[in-house]
Amino acid sequence: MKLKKGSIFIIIGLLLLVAALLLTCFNLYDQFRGERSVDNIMDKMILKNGEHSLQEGEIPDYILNPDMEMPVETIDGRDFIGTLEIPSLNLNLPIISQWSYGNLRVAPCRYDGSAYKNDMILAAHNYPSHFGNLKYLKEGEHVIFTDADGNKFTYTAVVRETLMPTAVNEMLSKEEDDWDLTLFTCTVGGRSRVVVRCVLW
Amino acid sequence: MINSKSRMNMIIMILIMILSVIMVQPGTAEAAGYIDTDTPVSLTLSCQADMGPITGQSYDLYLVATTDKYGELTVTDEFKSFNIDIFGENDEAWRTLASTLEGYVLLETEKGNIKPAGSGSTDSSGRLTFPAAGQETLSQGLYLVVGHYHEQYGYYYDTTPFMVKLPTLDSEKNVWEYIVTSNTKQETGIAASPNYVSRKAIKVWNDKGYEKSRPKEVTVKLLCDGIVYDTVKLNAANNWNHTWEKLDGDCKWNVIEEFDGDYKVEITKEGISFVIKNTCGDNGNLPGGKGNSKLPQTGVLWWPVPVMSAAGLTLIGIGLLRRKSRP
Repeated sequence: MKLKKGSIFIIIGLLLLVAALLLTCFNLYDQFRGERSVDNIMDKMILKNGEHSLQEGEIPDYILNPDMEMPVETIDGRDFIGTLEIPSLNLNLPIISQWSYGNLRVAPCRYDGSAYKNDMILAAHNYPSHFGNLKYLKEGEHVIFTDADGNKFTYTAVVRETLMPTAVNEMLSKEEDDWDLTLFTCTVGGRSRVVVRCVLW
Repeated sequence: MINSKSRMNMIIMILIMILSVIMVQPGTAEAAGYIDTDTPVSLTLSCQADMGPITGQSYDLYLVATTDKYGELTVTDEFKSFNIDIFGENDEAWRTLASTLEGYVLLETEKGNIKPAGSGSTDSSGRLTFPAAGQETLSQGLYLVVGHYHEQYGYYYDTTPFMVKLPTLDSEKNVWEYIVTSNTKQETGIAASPNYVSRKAIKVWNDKGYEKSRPKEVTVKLLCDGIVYDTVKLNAANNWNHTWEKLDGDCKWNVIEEFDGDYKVEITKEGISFVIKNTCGDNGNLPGGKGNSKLPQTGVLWWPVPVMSAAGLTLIGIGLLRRKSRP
């Protein structure tokens, strides 16, 4: 059967529209799954008392030994180093100890560093339920990280910047700004990274 | 008649003489000169509390290293076997050295392997002088001062061990002091009855780049007045720490580590915790970088949606136009 003139363009055009629609559905499902994932994990997390459980005269281990491995809580086979709360964005998220693409689909992850050494970097997908609204975090607003032992670290956002995907050294560096905690995610187009630097409050 | 060349030579000679005189004058930063090794040394401890002098508190003095006339230290035979760094000369290093040595010294004294160079108790004014009357003269060198647990005025007093060098250099006057007085520092609190305390041992590894040299576990002993009370193993499974609870508060508690290998050990007391730090290697930082050339892709893939939609609509438009343009 001979196709009408112009049919090939229409068919390809329709295929592209269908592909766009499928991608849209997949992305919406992925965002929904990301939200369910963190909610499930937060339900299972056992929150410890942190400093309230210290004995009289006892100094927290992380002060005596900042180089210590951050303690973890294992849930569904993944190690979590604690939770991150951003009240102004209505976020309370579990943080996976080690990043990987598989882990990033589940929850925000530690990309590098330690809360005990004031150089922790956390990465997450730009799902609305993860770091999607990070660009709305304003200077002066608080971020609270609670480790697996219940020790709380409160930070204030100080700088928001955009870095290229190849800016690994700039991400790790403290030469431009002295920071204690860094959060980052992709911009909407995925071509850059939204980075928020925070200092201990 | 002096010609100009001779005058110039004379001026140069005078300048050299003036400079020579200036250079041999002792500057404020210069050494105090040699130690007179024939001068006897003495150490007086002064133990005072808010309530008054601490009387009857016992102290032991241990000779860790001898000194020569240049002030250079040589570790004594008794202390050569300890795997510690004995030569830090600043206050911080000596505080760490004293707290590290205390446990080992108490244990070895209890076993009879080490004898103190001097022992005694504070008098009615809270003072104790070494050498006491009738005791041998003290050798010049580096000493460890260890106090015993004491109760008085309803309080307990636990002396922080410290190092003292005899003679001591007075850095302000730039002279060697052969008669030294030290004020003791006490950890104090209400002497409760019964008095229970907790103690914790926490292991810290200072061996960046040499992590593979670490043993799988280390043995730590808890001492009560120099006697082994308990022995535990610290390893990754217990996060390299252990807590003892409901211990007798009237006892002087220390921890020591049994360790073979290339690690130096330092033990410091922070609150109720004994921090056991093992150092290996030069601890230089490893080359930085994450090994990745790019930051992770953390974006949901949205950008193809408008691109594909626009392309699809464009192609559909082109297709429809081509149909209409058919003759």
